[in-house]
Amino acid sequence: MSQPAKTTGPLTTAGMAIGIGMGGFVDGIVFHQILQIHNMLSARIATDTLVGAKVNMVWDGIFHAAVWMATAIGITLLWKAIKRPDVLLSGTALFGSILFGFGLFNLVEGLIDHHVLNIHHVYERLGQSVWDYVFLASGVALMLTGWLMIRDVRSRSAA
Amino acid sequence: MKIAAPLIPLALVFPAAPAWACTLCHSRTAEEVRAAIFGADFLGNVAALALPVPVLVAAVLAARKYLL
Repeated sequence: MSQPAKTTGPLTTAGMAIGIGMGGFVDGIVFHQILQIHNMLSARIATDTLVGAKVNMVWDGIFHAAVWMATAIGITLLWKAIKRPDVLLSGTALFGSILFGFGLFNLVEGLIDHHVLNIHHVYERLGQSVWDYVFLASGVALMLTGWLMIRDVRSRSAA
Repeated sequence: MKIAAPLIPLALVFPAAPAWACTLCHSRTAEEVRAAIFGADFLGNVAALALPVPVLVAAVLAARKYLL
């Protein structure tokens, strides 16, 4: 009797959620906290006063809480996925989907926050700049890389 | 309940934590921060922060169905 075809769907969904969460953490930790080139509402509330910096810090915290939730949801989905017998447990597919989620975060957050709502920009001192477009391009590149990795796994498992 | 029971003592940490009595809670700076956060644009800022969430959820569901 032949084995039923294995799926990567639950694994890659978990990976995407983890990637969105971890992509958010990269943004928050590297850009908001270490480099301090922008904060969550830095285009609306200037960060060059103590009060302004602290207000932005609160909104940064809410953002970090949200990406923590995305990561936790991803870990929960991953736990459920690995217990399913019909799921193809591929490290490449998982890593690819994490990259895809990371890129999706950059693309969606970049489009909405940097271009539509203008609540902050990548390099706030310049306002909207080439760095906002680099951020979007990094999202597309990460998504493409992740998609190619997953596609490779799926084509090898189908063969 | 099996999982929750061992976590109950953790609740005791919160009233005991020094952070509960944050150093700026009664300062003028803290009052200005609170006023700025909960000002007229509070709901607008919440909405701005929340907007990517449904878009990301929809994108993940679409990617799972059509792409990955």
